[in-house]
Amino acid sequence: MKCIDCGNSFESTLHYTSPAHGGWGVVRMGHLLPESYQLFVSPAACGRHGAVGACLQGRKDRVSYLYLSEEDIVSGDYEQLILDGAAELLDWLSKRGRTPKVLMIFVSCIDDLLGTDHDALVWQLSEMYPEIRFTFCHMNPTSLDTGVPPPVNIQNKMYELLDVREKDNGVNLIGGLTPLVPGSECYELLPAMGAFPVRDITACESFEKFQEMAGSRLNIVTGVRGIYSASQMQKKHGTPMVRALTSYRIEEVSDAYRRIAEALSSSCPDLSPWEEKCRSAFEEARALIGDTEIVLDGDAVFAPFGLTRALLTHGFSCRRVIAQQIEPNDRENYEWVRANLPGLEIQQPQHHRAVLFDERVPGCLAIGYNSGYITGSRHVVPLEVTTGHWGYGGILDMLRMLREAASEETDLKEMIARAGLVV
Amino acid sequence: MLKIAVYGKGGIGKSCTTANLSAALSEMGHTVMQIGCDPKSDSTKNLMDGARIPTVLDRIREKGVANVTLDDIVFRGYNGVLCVEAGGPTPGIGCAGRGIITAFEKLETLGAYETYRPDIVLYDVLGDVVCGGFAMPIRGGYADHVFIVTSGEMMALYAASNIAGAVKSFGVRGYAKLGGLILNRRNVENERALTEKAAEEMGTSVIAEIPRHGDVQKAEALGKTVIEALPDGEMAPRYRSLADKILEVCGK
Repeated sequence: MKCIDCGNSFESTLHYTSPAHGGWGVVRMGHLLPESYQLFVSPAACGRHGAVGACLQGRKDRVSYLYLSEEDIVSGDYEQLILDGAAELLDWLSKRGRTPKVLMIFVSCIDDLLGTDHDALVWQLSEMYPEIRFTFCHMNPTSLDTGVPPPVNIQNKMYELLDVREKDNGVNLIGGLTPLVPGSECYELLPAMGAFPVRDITACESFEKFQEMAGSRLNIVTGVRGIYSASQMQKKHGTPMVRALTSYRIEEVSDAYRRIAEALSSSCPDLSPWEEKCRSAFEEARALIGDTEIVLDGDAVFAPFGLTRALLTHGFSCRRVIAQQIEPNDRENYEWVRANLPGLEIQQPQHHRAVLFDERVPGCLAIGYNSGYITGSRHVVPLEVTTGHWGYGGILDMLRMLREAASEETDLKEMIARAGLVV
Repeated sequence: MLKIAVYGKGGIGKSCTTANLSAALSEMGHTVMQIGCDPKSDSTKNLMDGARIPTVLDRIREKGVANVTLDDIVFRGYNGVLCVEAGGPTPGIGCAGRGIITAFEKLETLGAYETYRPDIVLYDVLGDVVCGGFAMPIRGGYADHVFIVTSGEMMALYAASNIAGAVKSFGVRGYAKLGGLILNRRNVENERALTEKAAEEMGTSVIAEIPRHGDVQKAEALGKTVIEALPDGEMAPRYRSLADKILEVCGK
């Protein structure tokens, strides 16, 4: 355990990975693209993890595997193998009336060492199947520390398929992986700014519907992993972007709406009723939860120090943040928390000492599965970075989840299994 | 932007020829970028007063892949030639081909071509197209033309034939075209005729001949190109006319 004041909180050591760590894998993210099918080209061992995950999540009818052998790698026939494999798969799908609109070909780190020319393969496949779109994606964990790690790259690969078209009054929400929680105010506030429809890949039922996102006049980036895609769309489509990442701080949400209004050259609707609603919800939750200590983790939210700041502002008792590192967009919040709660504990979930489980807080309210597992809490908030939280609606739903978790004991094992986490 | 890859058997004089070509092209008023694609990373040495520059892979090792900037890897050499060395892994360990891919991806991610806007990019590539990594410079989006440096020695011609074969087999994908052979003489018997015959068999021609001359070694000893060290000597005009010829073959 490292105290926030120690100055050396974030160490690089041997890693421990808890069973509660994880999120969406590339299979699940890629399946957001409607009418798409995935072909993984990899050694069998590399495909097994994703395949089991796909079965558990009921997605096995949209993914196939082309397993590589040593011979395939050294023979120089690798590229032909992909062409033949894709042809065989598409023939098989066609006979069953399941020809996809897009074939996403996932290659592994083996491919990086072979120097495959993906553009040339896409060109060849497009000549063979002009009615199908092809794209190459990477299943490469070694790129996790780069500027374009797999969860960022896969989103970009999907949005790259948007064809340039004339602009309309729509706006896109980019970066989220699940629909916003019901009743989100954005479907009222954004149209009031002249932005309609509000488009979101999670709501696209067809590839044609997805293509309509190319017509939107503004990209609102709600998730940090969508920033790269939006910047690429700015270059290709000329669509401006506003960074309005999920936040649980009322003033930050209001600021985001004002910036969106400015980008749309519109006046901003009155936000005070929503701000008041959120303040009341914070008070209500605070009254219920009282001084129960809160421990939250970085798998639950992209900005754990931002959520800590929001909770501290409204009088909650925060004990610990479980985070492997400070994300750049959370740095300012970290500094604020450091100044306002010097005693806050910080624990690295992947630090080798985490496996000792000598820092339990069973009576706490744990936000996030990892937090619940590491603290041994009986009250766990099933919040994930993929929960459809954004805007005031996100704040209200987060507080609802806190209230519910505080009121009921958790079956964490069942909760983790239901979440379908992939490391 | 004209992009040219120079291939040839190891030790045949690719880097020496390419550096002199860069120097000559820069003196003609072109903005030139030379990218050494060999783990030895000595392609640009004679454009940098004999100094080796840090390679892209060195910088990635030192700073981490996400923290490298263009200033870390692009250096201005003689007459403003932009010098880059891809570099390679520790000798005997790792994958040199992957090193080339990583270095090329880094240059692209950092927007090197958009930032420096070179008129001509020269890729000086290790011996042969031994794997996907070393084919990278001749792919679509990289070099438009390939020139092969060779002597009349059998092994050099054999390597040239392999390279020409690879360029031809990739032709269907719209990769680079073979521009011709550059004969860097070793003074073997009947050298010109042998090389021309080989060129004919490869479906190309000998576009220029560089004589074996002491000026080249003298300039190298000073850590410079012939163009810089001995601009009025006998060899400098040969490299200048090679530059003219290459521009002509490339339609410039």
